[in-house]
Amino acid sequence: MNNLTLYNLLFMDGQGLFVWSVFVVLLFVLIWNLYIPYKKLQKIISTDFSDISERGKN
Amino acid sequence: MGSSPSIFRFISTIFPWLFFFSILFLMGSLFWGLFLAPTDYKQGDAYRIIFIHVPSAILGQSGYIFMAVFGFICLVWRVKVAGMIVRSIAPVGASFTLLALVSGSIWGKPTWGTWWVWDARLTSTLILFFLYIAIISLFSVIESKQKADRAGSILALVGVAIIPIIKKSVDWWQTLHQSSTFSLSSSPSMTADMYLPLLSCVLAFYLIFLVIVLSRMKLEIVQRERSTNWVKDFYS
Repeated sequence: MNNLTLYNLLFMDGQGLFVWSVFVVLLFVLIWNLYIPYKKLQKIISTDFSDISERGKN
Repeated sequence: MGSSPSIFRFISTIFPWLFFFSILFLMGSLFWGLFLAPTDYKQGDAYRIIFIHVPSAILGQSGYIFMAVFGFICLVWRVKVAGMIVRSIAPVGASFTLLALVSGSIWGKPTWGTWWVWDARLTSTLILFFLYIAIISLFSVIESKQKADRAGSILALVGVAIIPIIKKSVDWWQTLHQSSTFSLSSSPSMTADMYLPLLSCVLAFYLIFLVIVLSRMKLEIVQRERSTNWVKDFYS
């Protein structure tokens, strides 16, 4: 893939800004939605079950 | 419908596989749509926003229908898990509806020359987003989980009337928004090399939606049953 092809793929005749800004919003929505439940679950595990898992190891 | 422990174990088992598969499928579908699909002769490359906008709009509406169905089950048969599903879908559906609104707005600028118009399709979708927000607010202000589940389910059931309005808005009113991309009654108005990546993106969005809802379900179950022995045993 030469530089001109890559430039065309990203720039998209001047409309790339619109397309890629939507892509960035999608990434933000996905990361936010996947990270928030994970973070909350990890918090519960570390606060409520950390002593239990330590006992389990021993 | 299964009990909380069996659903929790089922989610824990399938989640890693489903997560990686859905991410790969989404990346492949978006690559197909954003790079390999041909350029539209009229709109140029700006039309590629369709590969994100249409799936997110479909998910926003489907999510609400799923909420109404599980809300009905929660209200009629008092199934606790159904209430958890409604609660898990609400923020995800709201996110996809917001994504549909934002992506539509960004797409509107190069094609319509404006970010927003008070068009029937756009306004009814905005109302759908507000309905999601109302349901999320109900869940956060009512302390009793059971009461909140029932209140949220009632609003999900009442609000589902907005879905046919959104669907038919482009037929009932003169709108700037184009007619539906997907229709069961007519053949697609796009060529296969545009339609197939779009279909692939819709399927990928459904999968990623399922993944997010399952992760929220898992959290919901742990939050409600953290004092039970089976949860303690699972994390010990």
